[in-house]
Amino acid sequence: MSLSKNPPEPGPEGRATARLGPRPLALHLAIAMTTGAGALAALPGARAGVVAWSPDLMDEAATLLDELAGTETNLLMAAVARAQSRRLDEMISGIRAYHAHAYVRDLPEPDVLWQEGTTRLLDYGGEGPIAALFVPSLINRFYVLDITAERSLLRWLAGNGVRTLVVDWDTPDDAARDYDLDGYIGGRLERALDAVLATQDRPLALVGYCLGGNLALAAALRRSRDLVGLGLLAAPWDFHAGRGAQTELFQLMEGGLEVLLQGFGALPVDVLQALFASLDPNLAARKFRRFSRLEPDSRAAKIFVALEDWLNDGVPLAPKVARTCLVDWYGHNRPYHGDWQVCGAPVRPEGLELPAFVAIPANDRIVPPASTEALSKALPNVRVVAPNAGHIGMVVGSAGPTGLWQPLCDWLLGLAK
Amino acid sequence: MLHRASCRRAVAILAAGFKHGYSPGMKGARKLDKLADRYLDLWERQTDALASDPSGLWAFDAWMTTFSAERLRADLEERSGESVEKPSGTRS
Repeated sequence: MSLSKNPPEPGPEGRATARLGPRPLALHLAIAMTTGAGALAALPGARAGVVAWSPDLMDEAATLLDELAGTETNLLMAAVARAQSRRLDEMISGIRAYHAHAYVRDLPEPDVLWQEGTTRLLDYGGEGPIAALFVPSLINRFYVLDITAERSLLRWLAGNGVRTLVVDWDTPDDAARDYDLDGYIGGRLERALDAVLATQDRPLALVGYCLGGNLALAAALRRSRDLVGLGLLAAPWDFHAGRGAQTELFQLMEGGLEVLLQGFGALPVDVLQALFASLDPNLAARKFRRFSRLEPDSRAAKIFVALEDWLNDGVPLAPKVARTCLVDWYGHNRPYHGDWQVCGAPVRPEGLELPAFVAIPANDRIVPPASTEALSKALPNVRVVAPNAGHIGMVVGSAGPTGLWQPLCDWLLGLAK
Repeated sequence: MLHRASCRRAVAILAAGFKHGYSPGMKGARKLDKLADRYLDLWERQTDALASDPSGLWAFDAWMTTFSAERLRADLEERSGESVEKPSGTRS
C-alpha cells in the first residue's frame, strides 16, 4: 500500500525504488486511528475517574483532568475529535512528504573483500594499528553503521586509525534460508573472519551490534586465539529484562509463528516490522507528525529520511533463526540461563578471555538497558559506556561521535598497544 | 499556493467540529484545542504502556466491557423512558 500518487518506478537493477514505509503502512495508520478512537471512547470514563492509567502517567492524568473539569462534555469531545483529525492529517502529510523526498543514499561503495552467496565482507579501509570487523543484526541491513557521510561510524573509524570492515548479511540466499545460527556463526561469519585474517595482519577485534552482538560473542568464544577484543553495542542478553508481561506474548506466539514460517518459508519483513511496532505502537504517528513540520531541505529532514529508508529496508529472517530468536531467546530466555549452544558448545560470556567493550544506550526501547547490563556483568574484563541515546540514536544520532564513536575508537586503539 | 486536497481536508476537520457546537472563533477555543492535544498525547502513551504490559491490556479490556455494558444499560433505560413520555395526539 502506498500513499504516493505515482506507481513505483524500477531502479537500475529492476528493483522498485518507491518508498513503502512506514512498514507495514496499513498497520501504522490503523494504530493511529484506533488510538484516536480509543481516546474519544475513553474520555467520559477518564473524566469519571474510572480509567486505570499506567502508574507513571497517573499524576499527569490527574493534573490534566483537573484542568478539564469545568468543560462541557460535548465541547470537549468535539475538540478532541477535531484534534485527532488534525493529528491524523499531519501524520499522513508527513508520510506523503517522506515518500516524495528527494534524498537518495549515494555514498561510494566500499570494496568487497569476500563474498559467499548474498553475504559480503565490505572493506572501508583505514590505516592504523588495529582492525575491527563489525557484525550487524540479521534483521536490518548493515548500513545503519554507514547511514550518511556525516553520520557514518564505519567511515569515521576508518579515518581515525582503525582498519574497518563489516559483514553485509543482505537477504538470505537459498543456502542461508536453511541456516540455523550454527550455520551463520560457525559457517559464514567464521569464513568472513578467515578472509579478514588472510588479507591483513593487524590485530583484529569483533564488534557486534544488537543481535549481531550475540553472533559476535559466540564467534569470539570459538575464535579467541584469532582476536584481541570483542565490542558489543546494545546487544541483548537477558531477553526478559524490562519486558514485563510481553514475554508471555512471545511464548503464546510460538504456534502462530510456526504457521507463518511454514507458509512463507521465512519470517517476512512486514511481520518483523509489526513486531518492532508493538514495542512502541504510536512511534510512527509521532515521528511523521513531527516530520510534517520539518523543512524538506533541512539537515534534520535528510537524516530522518535516510534513517526511515534504512528502517523500511529490512530483510526476511531464515526460519530456523526466527525460531531461535523469537522462541528460544525472547520466549524462553535461553542465552541468559546458559542454555544456548553454538556448534555444540555453550555460549557463556563468563568464559570470554578477551577484553570486552559494552555500550548500553540509556534510552534504548528496543533492547532494554537491563538486558545488555546482564551481559556486561557476566563478562570478566569489560569497559562499559552508557550513551544518553536510544538504540539507533547511539550510532547515528548527533551525540554518536561523543557518546559511542570516540570511546569505541579509544578502546580499539588501546587494544593495539 | 494551497493544495486543493489540503483545503478539502481542513474544511472537513472544521465541519466535524461545527457539527458538535465547536467554533474556532469561540472564547477559549485555543486553550481547549491545546488541552485536547495534551489528552491525546497522554492517551498515546497510555496505549504504548498497555502494549508493553498485557496484564494491563486485560484489565483495560475488562474495563471497556464493563463501561460498554453500563452505557448500553443507560441507553436502554433512557429509550424506554422516551417512549412513555410521548406527547398526546402523536402517533405511536
